[in-house]
Amino acid sequence: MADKNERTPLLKVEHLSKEFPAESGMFAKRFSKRVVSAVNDISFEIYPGETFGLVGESGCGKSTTGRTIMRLTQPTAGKVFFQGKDVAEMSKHEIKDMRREMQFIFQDPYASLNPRMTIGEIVSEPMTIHGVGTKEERIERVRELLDVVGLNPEHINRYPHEFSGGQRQRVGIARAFALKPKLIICDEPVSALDVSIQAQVLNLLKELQDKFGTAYLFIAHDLSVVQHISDRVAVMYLGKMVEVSDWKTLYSEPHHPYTQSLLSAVPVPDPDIQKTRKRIILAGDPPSPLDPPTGCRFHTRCPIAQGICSEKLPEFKEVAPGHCCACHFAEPFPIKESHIDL
Amino acid sequence: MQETDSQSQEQATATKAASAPAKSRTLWGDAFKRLRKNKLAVIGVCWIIIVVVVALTADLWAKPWLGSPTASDSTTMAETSLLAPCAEHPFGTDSLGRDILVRVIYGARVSLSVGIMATAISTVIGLVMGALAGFYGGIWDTIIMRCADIFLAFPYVLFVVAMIAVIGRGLQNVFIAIGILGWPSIARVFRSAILTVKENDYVDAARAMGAPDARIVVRHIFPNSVASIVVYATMNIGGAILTESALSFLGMGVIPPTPSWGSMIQDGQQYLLTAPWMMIMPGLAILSTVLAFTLLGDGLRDALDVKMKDA
Amino acid sequence: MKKNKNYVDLKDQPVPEGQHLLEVDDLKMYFHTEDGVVRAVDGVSYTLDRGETLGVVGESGSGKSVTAMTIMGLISMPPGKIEGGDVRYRGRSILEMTEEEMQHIRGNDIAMIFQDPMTSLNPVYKIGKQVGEGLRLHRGYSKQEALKRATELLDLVGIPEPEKRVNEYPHQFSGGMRQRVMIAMALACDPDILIADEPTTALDVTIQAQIIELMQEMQEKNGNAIIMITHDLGVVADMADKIMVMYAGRPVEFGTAEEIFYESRHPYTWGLIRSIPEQAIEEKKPLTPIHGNPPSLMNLPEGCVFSPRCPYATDKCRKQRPERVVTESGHYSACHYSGDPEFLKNAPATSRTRKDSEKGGEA
Repeated sequence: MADKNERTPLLKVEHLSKEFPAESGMFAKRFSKRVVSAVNDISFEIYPGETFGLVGESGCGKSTTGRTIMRLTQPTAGKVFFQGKDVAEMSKHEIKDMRREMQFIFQDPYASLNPRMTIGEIVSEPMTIHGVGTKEERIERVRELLDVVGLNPEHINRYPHEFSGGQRQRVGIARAFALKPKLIICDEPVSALDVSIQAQVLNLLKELQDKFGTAYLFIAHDLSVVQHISDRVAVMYLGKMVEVSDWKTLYSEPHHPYTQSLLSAVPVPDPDIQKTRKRIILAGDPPSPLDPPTGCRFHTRCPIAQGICSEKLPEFKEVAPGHCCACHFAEPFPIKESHIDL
Repeated sequence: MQETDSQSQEQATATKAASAPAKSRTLWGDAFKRLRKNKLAVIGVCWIIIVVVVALTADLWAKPWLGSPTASDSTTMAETSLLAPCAEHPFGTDSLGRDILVRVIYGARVSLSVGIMATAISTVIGLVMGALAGFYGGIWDTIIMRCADIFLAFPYVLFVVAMIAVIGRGLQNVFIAIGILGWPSIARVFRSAILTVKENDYVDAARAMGAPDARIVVRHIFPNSVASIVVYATMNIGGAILTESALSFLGMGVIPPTPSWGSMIQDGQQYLLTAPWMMIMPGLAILSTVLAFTLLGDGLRDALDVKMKDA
Repeated sequence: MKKNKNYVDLKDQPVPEGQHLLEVDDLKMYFHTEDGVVRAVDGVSYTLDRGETLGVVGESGSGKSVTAMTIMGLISMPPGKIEGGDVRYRGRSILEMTEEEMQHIRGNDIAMIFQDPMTSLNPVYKIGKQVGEGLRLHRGYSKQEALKRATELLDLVGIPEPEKRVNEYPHQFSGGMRQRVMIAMALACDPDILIADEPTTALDVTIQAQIIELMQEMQEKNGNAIIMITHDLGVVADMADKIMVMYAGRPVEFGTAEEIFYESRHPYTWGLIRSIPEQAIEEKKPLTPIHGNPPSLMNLPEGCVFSPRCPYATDKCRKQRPERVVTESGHYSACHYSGDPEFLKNAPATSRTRKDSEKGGEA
């Protein structure tokens, strides 16, 4: 990670924002000014071969971020650079090339595979679309991929409903790796799976990364999972990025009070630790993104909020090399006391 | 039992364990299997097949056995008219001495052809309209769906009668009238099916891969939304048969003496008390055939429901 | 008690000498479906006393929810059928009760909260009415009394402005707030036992922490017992006194929380613990997942149900169904080798063993 600054980022996101109209229907766009601010002015970079974790609670905009990068929805503002090129200025041809290099893994292993296509057709679809190889070569490659993700290549002609949730997720992974992409956006890839299957899939993702050098944007709500797989982690709250750092620092010296409370809220499967550790339990619910609080968006639930927090938006500034945090009081925190002491 | 076995075998096949390549089951294949298990649907299918076969082969055996369905012999009419069901005339005879069974059999030709042709016309128009509205949305959606609303706001039979009045009577015009006016409900069903399928992650997955629109429609959206149309069209055949009967009853259907179930009921109306079989027999034919299509439609709906698989 | 004058409220009856508040004894619940028999619950046993929390842990399809639904009498029969065993509440068999008696038990003596707070409330009734419904039904409260008590209950579960919110509808509440309403509803009649079926799974971590804290607080106040059904070992570590680990419809291990987390004797429990990513600040430890997939409940493997996925399975495991190995404290494990101290050395390291080995190293 030390030479990070010398490398060129694979993906660079600058001041990305995404708003949705609050009402839908015929006249909504014309007459309604109310918008849901799903993602608000976030910036980050992903370097080749690394895993960048994006963590936050439901409605914080983490999935929208992934989908906007993938151009499944258009951003309202901000820029996305892939391999140094502005995605918005790419030609149709370049966009198609970009899609070869950037793949997606979905959360729901049931909804993400077309039930009327065989496993073979599903996994080879990216190759078919991009015209890679002959039919025979593609079939050969699908068999290889199925083997790599731990499925029986003989099952190439079976349909998704004949597989369990974990196995379907493996199919989704095989499809994502079919074109050997440089970046895969994983949107909650394990949250629909049981614990024992989740561990299988996490291990598989790690293994494949080591093999192909793919970078991941790993989106999840589960802090332990994100920590396990990520090199660097970003925390989002209500459309804003509140903290970014390498995994070790984020989990040992979280600066932002939201990160601290998130970490302390995760129940640890160890009664001894659970009984003794200090916990910050946040009051109330996250506010609606339709009407986000002024100033710092977290101030309504923040245990250390002061007057300035409701007035001024805190700057997203570097508190240590590679560690950024958006909080007016980021530095003077008694951080050590609240982190989980193993 | 075989299904269970292969499923558990599936489960037991750990992630990588090599097992003999088992025969794969397509969703359509599975649906057919499930349909076969549904007794009511099987009864419906059998009845439809019987009616079709009887109607198609009627020239070979029904005519020689029971006489012409249309011609009446004025010389013998006094003895042969309004006979109650007997060995010679299982369904009895009508006021002109024609055998009712043979008329019901030939009437099936009219009813079935109207049901199928009219539904085919509605389905084609409905699919195109529904697809435009569902895929493209926006202004297309608004225009097409408001048109459909207007069509649906008129009393259906009245609308058909009005149309027949304009284009004239006759079998072909009955197809056209019922067919053209039936598209809005099919368009609606197809549109909502498309909108549901569009929400699925695999459509996004295809888009993320860079698949062109045409491929997404043909490979992903259409195969997954067509099931609801199959179900709806099946039930619609029954509905079209009913509409044809209503038209014939009102004297707006096929031109006599061609027998049609609706016109036979109309003929029997005045003999309701003296010769009730004149109404009951074609009435039973309508009832059983429409019911058969409804049962088949119900069965198809259950059989094609993919969600039930995941339970 | 307007309706059932001659009904004896079981909650006021003492627990018979030598028995527990709730005793589940070798309960078996099978579903007879067209495709075969699903052994959803196969021989579950445990006991529960007031003030205790039992954590039931297992993956989807392990039968943990069906067990709870059986106790509540909420399984439709057929296709369900009780094939053996008994459930005794304060010494009386629940399975032998009439539907009328069960209706009195449900909500009054044993209450339940569900996973999805979005669908467990009826959208057309006001919150106050729904919370007070049990009181009107079981206690014969008048409308006004029920509403007053509902307001108090909402206040108790930490809903701000309860006077205003009793008159609101479910869609005006957030997920976390709805789960609070569910808890208020469940606790309205002061039940002996609260069954919580994945109550925090649909909620965010920070809200989950609130709900867990609330449940613990309520338990301290009311002294009720809790059965906490969850797939999350972290949640049971937080709450449970006793833990039952279920796999493929069978309890594979049962013991106190300490026994399950620090002295576990079953390879499935070990596998679960090894599958969870640990919050580490030093070094990330690789996960050791359990291989394969859970079996179909219609076609269970011969012998030990876990044997096809167990890394330690022997021929004996594949042929013979293991008996429970019970220790003096009541900690049981359904594994042939649970009594073998050599075998138990395979257990994953815990924070305790790590500390011990550190101390040993220093000494």
